[in-house]
Amino acid sequence: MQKQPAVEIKQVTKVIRGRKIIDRVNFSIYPGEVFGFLGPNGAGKTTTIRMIVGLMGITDGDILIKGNSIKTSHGAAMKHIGAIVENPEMYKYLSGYLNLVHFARMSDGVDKKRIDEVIELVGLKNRINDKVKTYSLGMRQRLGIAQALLHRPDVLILDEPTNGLDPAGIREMRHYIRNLAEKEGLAVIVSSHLLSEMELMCDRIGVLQQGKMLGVQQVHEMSSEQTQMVSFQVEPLEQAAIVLRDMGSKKPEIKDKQIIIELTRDEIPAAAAKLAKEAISIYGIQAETKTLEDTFLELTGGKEIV
Amino acid sequence: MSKFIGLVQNEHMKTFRRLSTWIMFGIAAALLITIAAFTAYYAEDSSGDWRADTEQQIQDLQKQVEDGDVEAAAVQQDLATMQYQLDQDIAPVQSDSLAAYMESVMYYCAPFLILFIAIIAGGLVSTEFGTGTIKLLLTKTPSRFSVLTSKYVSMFITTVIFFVFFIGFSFVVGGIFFGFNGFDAKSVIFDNGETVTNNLLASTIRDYGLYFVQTLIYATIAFALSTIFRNTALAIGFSIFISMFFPTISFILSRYDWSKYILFNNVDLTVYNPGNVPVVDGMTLGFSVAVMAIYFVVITVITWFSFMKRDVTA
Ligand SMILES: Nc1ncnc2c1ncn2[C@@H]1O[C@H](COP(=O)(O)OP(=O)(O)O)[C@@H](O)[C@H]1O
Ligand SMILES: [Mg+2]
Repeated sequence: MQKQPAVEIKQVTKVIRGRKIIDRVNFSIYPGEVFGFLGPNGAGKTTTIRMIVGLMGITDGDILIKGNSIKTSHGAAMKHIGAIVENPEMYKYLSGYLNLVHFARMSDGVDKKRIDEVIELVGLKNRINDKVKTYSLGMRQRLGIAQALLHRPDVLILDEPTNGLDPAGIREMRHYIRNLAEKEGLAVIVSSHLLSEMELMCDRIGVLQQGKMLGVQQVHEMSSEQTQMVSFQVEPLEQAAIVLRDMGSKKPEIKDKQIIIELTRDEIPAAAAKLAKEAISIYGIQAETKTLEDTFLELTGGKEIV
Repeated sequence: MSKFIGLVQNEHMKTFRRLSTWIMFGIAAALLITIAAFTAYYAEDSSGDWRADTEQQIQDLQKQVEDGDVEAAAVQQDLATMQYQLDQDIAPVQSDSLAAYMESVMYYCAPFLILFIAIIAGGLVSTEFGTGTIKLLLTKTPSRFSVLTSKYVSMFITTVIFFVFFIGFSFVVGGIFFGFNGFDAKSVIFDNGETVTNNLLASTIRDYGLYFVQTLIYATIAFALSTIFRNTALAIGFSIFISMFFPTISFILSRYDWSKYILFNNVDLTVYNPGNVPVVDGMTLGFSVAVMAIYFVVITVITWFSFMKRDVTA
């Protein structure tokens, strides 16, 4: 399913006062997917997002939104984007409703009906006529999403959307985001410095560190090619090691009275059948799924991501 | 185009939904009413015959000159003016009349117009940076050029609204306190050795017009500083400081011919009214307009360029 990417980030570099903040970052986001932008504080997530939405110039490279370069066709590109950069800042002395009227006037084809529709969607109906200064952070976050969705964009960009939210708020946010991608087919870019959070809502996660993209990882479908460490509690150990010799890519290891071997998912039942055939007693089999965290620790060279 | 009107509407909504804007109107209204009340309270009894009064004043002055109390040259203008009033049958303007009240409002309260407009203009761009809302404003389809231009247009319209309010409100208050009459009140002015008459209401409206130009220049400076430095306090502080203290600085610099090229020496066009003199000899209305136009173009080019090119890190 090679769809046309919603956002293409092509070899983007950003230099501020001689310092390379972003270094040749390259990735694409497709319709219907939630892309996680993971990296520690100061990695350059916000800077990248600012370049995507045209708040900051691009030193080198280009960013295309539905094929429109943000550098040369700001209007055409921004038509497709809804974004909250850092905090959901609104006009505090205006009501939530007037804030939405304000942003509706800046977009094409947003009528009163659409405003009401979006208010309904984010569940702010009861408080929409109150001034924004009376809103909680969660409500401001929802109003922020409402203004981002007003003009029916194809791309939604949320910079650390769960920052400062309580667990219930985080769950709700996650629900919104998944819904928008799955039901509305939006391409969603979410940034965070917390892996645990990203794992739950993203389809793919890109890891950014010190301005460099270290790699992009699929989250849910572990491919059948992917290997994992499997440990067998069996007797006798040596005989079992010989039986399993031909399996896996590396030689089986004996450790703590267990055999540890790297296998793909499909090879696990095959290995068990082989052992049973040789009348080796099996007391237990554990597949140690390599967690995303392990993958990222590998990517980042063992350093903590958080 | 309809999008641009929407942008201007947005700016207006933001200006006029702010409490501070309404406080300004409140202060202005209170000030105008207070001036009217004081004028009415302290007005001299004007029921007498003005001709007799004027003749008496002329005699008094002439006597003082004969006694050597005052220099003849010092009172020559006053004498000529009063004699002209008698000859031409022009009654002196009473301080408790609509026209005189509107004129004094213009002279005493016009600085408040600069103050109010500079406060509004100085926050137009920088507060968006301060609150972070600039990020939303610039991540919609309108270009940065349109966003900034809509803010400037809104500032212009707000300035017009304030002027209309001052003129309209002082007219109504003046009328209520002093009666809606005396529209043809004339003042006598000594200009280039000649005495000329001047319709007071008309000249007041003209001076509001000239003052509008000056206000707009200070507002443009506040707007520019707000955009370039993204700092509200600096933008408001500098423009108000200059508008209040430049006359003093100007006086010190006026002996240098080059000081006529300083923008602030050219913003007050009332110096070209009959009876007034420009800061530096030889300055003309056309010269001042040209100087202002050049500064205006330079300031706006720098402002728009800065807004359109620079990174937004708010
Ligand atoms: N305007 C700026 N001038 C100089 N350095 C900046 C500027 N903005 C961001 N940086 C630097 O760029 C790096 C990335 O910042 P940022 O994009 O905010 O990271 P993140 O959002 O991932 O926490 C940081 O080291 C920060 O200090
Ligand atoms: Mg950030």
